[in-house]
Amino acid sequence: MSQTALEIRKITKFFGDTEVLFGIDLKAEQGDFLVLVGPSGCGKSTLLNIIAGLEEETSGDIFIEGRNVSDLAPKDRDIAMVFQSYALYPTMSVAGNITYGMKVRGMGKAERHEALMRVAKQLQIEQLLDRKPSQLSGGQRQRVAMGRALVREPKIFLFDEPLSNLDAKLRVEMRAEIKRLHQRLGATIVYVTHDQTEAMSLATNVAVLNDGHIAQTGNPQELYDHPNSVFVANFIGSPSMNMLCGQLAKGENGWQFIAGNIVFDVEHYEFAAPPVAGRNVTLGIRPEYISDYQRSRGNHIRQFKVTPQLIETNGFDQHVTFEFCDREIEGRFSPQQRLKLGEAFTADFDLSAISLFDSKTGDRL
Amino acid sequence: MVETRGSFKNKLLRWLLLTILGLFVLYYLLPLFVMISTSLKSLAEIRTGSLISLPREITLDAWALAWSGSCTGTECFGMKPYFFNSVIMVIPAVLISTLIGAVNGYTLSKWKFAGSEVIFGLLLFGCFIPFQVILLPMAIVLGKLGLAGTIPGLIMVHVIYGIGFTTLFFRNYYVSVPTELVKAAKIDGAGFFQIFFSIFLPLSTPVFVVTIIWQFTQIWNDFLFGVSFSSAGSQPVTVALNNIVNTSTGVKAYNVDMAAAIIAALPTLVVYVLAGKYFVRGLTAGSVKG
Repeated sequence: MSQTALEIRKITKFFGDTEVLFGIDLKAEQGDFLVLVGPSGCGKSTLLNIIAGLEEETSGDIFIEGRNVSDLAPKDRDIAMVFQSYALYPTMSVAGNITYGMKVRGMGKAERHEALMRVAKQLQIEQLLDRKPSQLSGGQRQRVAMGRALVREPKIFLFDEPLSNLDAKLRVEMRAEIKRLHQRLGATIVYVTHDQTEAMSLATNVAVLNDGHIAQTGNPQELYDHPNSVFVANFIGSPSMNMLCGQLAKGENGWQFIAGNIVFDVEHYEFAAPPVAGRNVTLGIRPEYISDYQRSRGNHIRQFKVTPQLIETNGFDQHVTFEFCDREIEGRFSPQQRLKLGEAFTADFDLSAISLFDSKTGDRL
Repeated sequence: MVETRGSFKNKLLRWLLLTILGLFVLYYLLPLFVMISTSLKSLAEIRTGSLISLPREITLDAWALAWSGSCTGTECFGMKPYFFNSVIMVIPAVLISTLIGAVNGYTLSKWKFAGSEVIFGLLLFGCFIPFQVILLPMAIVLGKLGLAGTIPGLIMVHVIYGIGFTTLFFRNYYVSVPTELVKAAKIDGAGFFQIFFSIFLPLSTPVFVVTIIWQFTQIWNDFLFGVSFSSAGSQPVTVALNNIVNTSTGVKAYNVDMAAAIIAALPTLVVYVLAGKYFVRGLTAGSVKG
């Protein structure tokens, strides 16, 4: 049985009188890629800094492989960190940057060199070792920053928005590289980002933070398919989930969602708690389920005439915005469809993968 | 056609600008010219010639006299001993105040603690305290420490008075250095001074140049502290210059006065000529890339 790599217990943090973390509990098993994601100001970077020991928690404990490290200095926690600005030491060469930690710890020269070469080879930066950080491109700096972390062979890698300074293309490349690195090393990684796409594509496990609380944890697909609140539903997925406001009612064939003159049968929906008639609810449906692609075998398809107000195309999809039930709704249609602004057409609403939320609390029903 | 007219107009404006700037340069350099040419004349020539005429016969007698023979009060050793007083006062005072400023600036920008902003504010306030205000209390302190009238006493005064400025310079420079560098070094296991010496000092050449020039100029040119806190043997060059110029028996030796004044001003001039471009560069140096 492998030990839990990281366990966060009831971490709170105050800045003065402002509470920014409200008793966070979180776990990462050996080899997990845990992504902390949330809008800016949700406390994710603070939490990462607390794990690293760069900031002190107000209360709570951090365990790394079963050892309580709450009172240890960053260097004694057996972690390594990659920063958003890379934080390469500007006056040192690449080699100097990577070996600085070992030098500080008093490791021998031969040993340092051996470790340096191993990491340089792994990251293919052997030809850059004598350069200064200012002579490197963004992607190369990123690699050196990772090299500095790798060379420590820590128990946990911490990444603080490491890709946000890169341009879009490089970001996708480096993202894949980080993922490959994780698969190859089987290392435990805690990764902070505000970008849900990054979170979805990298994580084995995602924790969505909102205002200092954990909104939901789970693997990316779970979060996408079964968001447990309106917040998570809106945050995960791009374009985000469409929301319709209405009420629950008991019909002839079972439960129905009623919004104005539109009635959806939601009998197939798996309610978490027994539904109550007359309750105000929000129905969430992802754009790809308003489509002309046949996602499911058509058990819960409803057709509506809609009029496009905005058509955005990206080559493989047309994102079409239209008004439906007093809301702006977005659907995704194949580019073969000749759609025109203001010209009504028939859209399929696939209700097999809807989410229902309590309108008042925002919680999943 | 319009184009050529436009470029002609531009040219004219350009020449006008250059002419005005040239006049300013002449105006600024005139005193220096008068000083140098007067210092190279004999007394007889000064009496007969005009102020801005070139010397008919160049003589270095006035320089020799100013350096080692002119009288301050009753003693006639020239500027030489006082010049070296200034040197042995300025060097440690500049180095100590700059180093303290560097550590202060590093601490106040990267290792903030409860009250660090207040301390910085107070240090900043120290920059604006007029010299005159601290004369009496400082005299008492120097007396109690047994440093009254000594060069170490003067060094101490200049170090204390300079810390406000040096801290300000270094703090503002280090604020632009990403704090993530400190975090990365902490994770690498480096401590407070290790981070300072291995990461921040190597970055600091521009701000060191600025601070050293600033401090050197301030301390070398200071007169008030020099005249207040020194005794006969420990006077700096500025005080000696004053004494030479004011010690007149009979004829006023303008050539010696001028030579003495140039000797007193020379080190700061040299520092500016040698390091002036770093001064401007350092003042405008932005954040550290990398």
